[in-house]
Amino acid sequence: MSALLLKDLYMIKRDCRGNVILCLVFAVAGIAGNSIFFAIWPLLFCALIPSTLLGLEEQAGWQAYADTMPWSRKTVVTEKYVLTLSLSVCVTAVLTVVYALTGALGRTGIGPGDLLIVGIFVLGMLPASFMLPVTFKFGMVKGRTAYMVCLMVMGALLGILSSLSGEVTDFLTAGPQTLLLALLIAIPTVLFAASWVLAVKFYEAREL
Amino acid sequence: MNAIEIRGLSKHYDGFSLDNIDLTLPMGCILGLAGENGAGKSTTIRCILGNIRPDAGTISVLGRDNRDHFEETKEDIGVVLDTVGFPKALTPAQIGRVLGKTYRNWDQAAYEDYLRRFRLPEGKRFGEFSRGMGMKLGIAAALSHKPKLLILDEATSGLDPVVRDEVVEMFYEFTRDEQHSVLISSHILSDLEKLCDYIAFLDKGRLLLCEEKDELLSRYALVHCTPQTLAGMDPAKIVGERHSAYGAQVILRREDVPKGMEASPIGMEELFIAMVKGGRDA
Repeated sequence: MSALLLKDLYMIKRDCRGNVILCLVFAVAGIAGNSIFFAIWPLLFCALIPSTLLGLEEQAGWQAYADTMPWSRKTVVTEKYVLTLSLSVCVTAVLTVVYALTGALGRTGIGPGDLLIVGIFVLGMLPASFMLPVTFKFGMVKGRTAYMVCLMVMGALLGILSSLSGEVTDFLTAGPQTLLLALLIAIPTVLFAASWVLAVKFYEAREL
Repeated sequence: MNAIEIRGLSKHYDGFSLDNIDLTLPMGCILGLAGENGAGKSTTIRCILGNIRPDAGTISVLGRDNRDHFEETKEDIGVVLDTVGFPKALTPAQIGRVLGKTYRNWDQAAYEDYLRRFRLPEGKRFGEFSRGMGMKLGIAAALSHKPKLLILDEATSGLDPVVRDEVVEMFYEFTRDEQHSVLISSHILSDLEKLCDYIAFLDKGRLLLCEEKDELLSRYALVHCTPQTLAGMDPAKIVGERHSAYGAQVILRREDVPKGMEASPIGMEELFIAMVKGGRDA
């Protein structure tokens, strides 16, 4: 799998520079500007990276070619999930650093404590959880559609949450934070794991 | 042990079927898969490589069923497909590093040597390569992990004649080791004639024949005659015929050549065309 990760790093370096720069810009803008809206964008840009790579691979005919090399299809799928998770961790780390720095400079940050950072991290994995199985079964065009549908649903939910901003903040501050944190981590993690199982199954059955 | 053994391979698509194919590539030999576009060469190769699942039949590669932990067997297989699918962003140097982490037997020195022999720039992105350069890189990668079996799908197409000759010679060198085998599909029959020990003709998903090349070519002969002489021949014995302003050329089995008539050796291309056209007429 390390070979596949190395290949993806080379591809990111060349083809996804824009995503990386946008991630950093929005991370700083989101945290320093005290805006949940901007702070979520880095993870969405980051979730687009595996999708971009899969599109480029499909275009190059890499999938059929990789299938002639000594990797199982399970390894090929798993690598993309590991990459997605690693990118999410990296972006969350950047967000956390910016958050800590703005806190040290006397700013209040974007919300009620660490819960939002964790929330942003797990929310960032959701689009990939929907997009990757669809991509591994049907190819990139339908995978991107799944990604867009997921973004629209998430956008609608965030819109509803923003309109209830005061109540949500009160609830998050006063409510049982440990339980919330556990749910916030558990639900997307289960979805991510289920997505991986499904993607492996789909890809193993696919004709390349 | 055979390098490849295919029994009863069938695969159906809308408008095309690969029909009950039996093929054997003995270890240490080169088998050429000839056929027109759409004859089923690539489908056969994709079934061997596990890219697609056959509807029926079994395939064993280097003594193991290709449904049984095939990723382990693939350590010993070098593959060049008609599309060399390296990501466009990668350079040959980066591809070398990736493949070095992929294959247990990767030989970086051999890979660099192939890059030099093929005059491929290490730092240029694969996306900027011409088709011929891409093919050369695919061949370099396929040969650099000490494979026992090479599977080449139209690997010589897109190469200029000089490089093609060099590459064919390289494949020939590869099989000097009696543990090495090659399956090569091509519509350039002169390449197959130069390289192969065995030859298989595919037409519309059917296997017309799979035989030792020299034996096959020695069994047929080309006869030049007048249209009148041709008219007097038994049509059942004619494998193929071609007419021109200078007379007729007829392909016959050696034993069917009429006494007193001069017969010349036949080439692979002439025989293949005669068999495919003969099959259509029938």
